[in-house]
Amino acid sequence: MSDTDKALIAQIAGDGSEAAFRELFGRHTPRLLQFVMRILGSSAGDAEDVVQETWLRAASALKDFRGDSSFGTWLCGIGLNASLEQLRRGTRRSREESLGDMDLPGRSSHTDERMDLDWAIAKLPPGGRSVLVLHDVEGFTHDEIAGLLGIAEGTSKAQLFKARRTMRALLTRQEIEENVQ
Amino acid sequence: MFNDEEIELTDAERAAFTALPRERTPSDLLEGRVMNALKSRGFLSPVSRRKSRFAMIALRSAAAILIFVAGALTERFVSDRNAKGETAPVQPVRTAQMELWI
Repeated sequence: MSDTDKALIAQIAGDGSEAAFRELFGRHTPRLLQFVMRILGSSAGDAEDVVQETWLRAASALKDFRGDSSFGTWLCGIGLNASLEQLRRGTRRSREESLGDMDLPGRSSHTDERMDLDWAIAKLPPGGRSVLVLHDVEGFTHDEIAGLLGIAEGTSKAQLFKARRTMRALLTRQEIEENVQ
Repeated sequence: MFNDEEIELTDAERAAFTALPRERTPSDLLEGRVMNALKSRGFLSPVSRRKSRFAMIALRSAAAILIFVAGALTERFVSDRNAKGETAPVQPVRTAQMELWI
């Protein structure tokens, strides 16, 4: 954890400094928002609700933060749980509706490979998407993912296998359709 | 069920994952929403309350210093007066009064 984060957390825990919280918020929210968007496979609007919930939980648990990991990693862990709860509740709009709102490009309008990949990730089923984002985007090991998601390590590997296969199929189909057009 | 070769990413896929953006700028409204929610739950002290608390501490400190200085000056004034014998005439007056009462 950076010294600056540590100092900001100490200020917040000490006297509830709003200025320190705003600084911490500004430093970590862009990464948290992008992470939550990928886990949800959803629009920025839906993801911002989860980000807000994440910060509320983080604020109430700040005194328990021991600094074993970086603050950003700890925060993303809380964001992951909040995102998974949101997915389980099923209160978000249907995936198709959300994809319609996303500012990701449509399959026929993309011009950027990164956007294609984000589009394909968003199309994956929630379980496989979570594992793929944690493993291939965020760089967690299967052991860590198993701990974070409360699943067996073998389940994490199987989910990743299926997710990669589905992602490849989506991207290949997209490529074929573009060539036809 | 699956083999390791098939599950491995190709170099191009790995590069594509690495190139994905890691950050996204939140909307301007999000920070305000989060701050309001935190304040309403008592996690943060409003700036005005903190400022007024600091002002009160400063005011009390200034008052304490003022009282101390005033006390020190008074004590010095009394000591100086005693040293110059300014209290000497008091004694005869008191003695005279006592004589009158008797």
